[in-house]
Amino acid sequence: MELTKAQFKTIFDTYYNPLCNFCCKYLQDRGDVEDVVQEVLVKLWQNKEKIHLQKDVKFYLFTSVKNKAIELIRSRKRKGEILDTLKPEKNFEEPVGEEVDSTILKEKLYNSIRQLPPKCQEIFVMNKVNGLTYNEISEELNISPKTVDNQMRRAFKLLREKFGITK
Amino acid sequence: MSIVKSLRNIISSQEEHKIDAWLQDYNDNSEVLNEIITEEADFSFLKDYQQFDTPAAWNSIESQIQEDTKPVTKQFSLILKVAAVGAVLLFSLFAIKPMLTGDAISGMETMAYADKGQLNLPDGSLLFVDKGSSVEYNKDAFNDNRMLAFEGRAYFDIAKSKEGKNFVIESEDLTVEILGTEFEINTIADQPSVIVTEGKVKVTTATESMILVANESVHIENGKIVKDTHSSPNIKSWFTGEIAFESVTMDKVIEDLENHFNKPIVTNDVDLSCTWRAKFTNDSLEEVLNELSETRGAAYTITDKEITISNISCN
Repeated sequence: MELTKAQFKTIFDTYYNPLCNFCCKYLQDRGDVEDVVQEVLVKLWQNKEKIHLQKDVKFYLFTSVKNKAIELIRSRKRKGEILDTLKPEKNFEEPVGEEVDSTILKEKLYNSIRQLPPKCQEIFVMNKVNGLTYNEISEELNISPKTVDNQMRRAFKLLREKFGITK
Repeated sequence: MSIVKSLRNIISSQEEHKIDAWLQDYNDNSEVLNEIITEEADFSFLKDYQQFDTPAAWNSIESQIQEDTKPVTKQFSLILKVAAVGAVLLFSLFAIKPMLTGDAISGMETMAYADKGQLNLPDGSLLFVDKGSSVEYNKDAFNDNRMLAFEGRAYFDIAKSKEGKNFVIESEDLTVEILGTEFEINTIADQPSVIVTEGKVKVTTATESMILVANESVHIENGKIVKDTHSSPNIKSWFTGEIAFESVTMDKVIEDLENHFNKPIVTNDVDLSCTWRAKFTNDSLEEVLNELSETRGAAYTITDKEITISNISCN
């Protein structure tokens, strides 16, 4: 396929972080994870003339990352390295398809939460990700429950605006 | 403009649109988000999600694609690993514990197999032993005390004892107690394993034990007994010489071939989800790999220590 460098950069920007997070399912060490993902992306660029994709490039990327990760695990096992750096008994047969969409969705959500104003973000994460109640948050941060409630409303408003959701 | 060239232009502009469409698609799932972003939503699934250092990654990638040389391959580490496996193998062969006996008790038999072989035990049990394995037992007392020390790989066909005596196999990491059956033990693989084809077997390690029935298999990982989720139809292939793949994915094929030839296989650019269909009877390693290369375009190299298979893609 024809791939300009600008397009490649867009693909990188879009998929690097979700691919790394996906790869974490197989490998524990962040260095290994980034090595695997970078290798796959570099290979996409180097073989761009040879690669003919029937489906979306994202399936190619996620499948290649999974295969590379498994290759690494297999080679490590053989080398007799301590299995600490590897996640145990991952079922390698599960189809990559559903994972792709859910990982991309996580990336978008994660990314937009990171763009919330700092206080708003902190409170939103405490409540929605870490599961603290409004009361617990108000105690923890020494603010009134009403403030927590306001910040949460603000967070939802900003997120909906970001995704163009009208509600 | 030549026809070829204009065709190429059409194709490339189509592809360009395709890439744009893909990225468009990435940005377009507001419907799903609409459902997700609600006050009741639980985002705890984001707990482990993290941000990687994207700018640094881009720098690294950009430097690699500008040189337009191949990225640094990791083949060196693969070679080292193989050496390590060799060492482990030797170690476990020489580390057979002197068992069952004190010194020099009459009737002790120690068999070390330089090649594949069969062993008929006094009680009528039959062992198919792989090369590099060793078996130690007391042939005089065997009918009273069905015990043997074992390291390596063997397929056991255990005779039923008239008096209902158990059959016990000891190795470094595990003890297997047979409650009447056929099964296979491999103690020198990187993860020792027991596969039961018939009957009932009790496997014990230093820390735990488990009873297995027919068609179950386990491997030992850091002293823990871990049940395998699937077992291959080719488990007996290394001594029957027959190995068959019925549209099996490459990861399974490679595992079975490693088992069959008892040699580690390293893969390089192999799409493990590709399938393969083939059948062999007493074929040599080269014959099998040639077939793989003809049908799947694979390249391979064989050294004393390992096999490297590369370049398999599904198309």
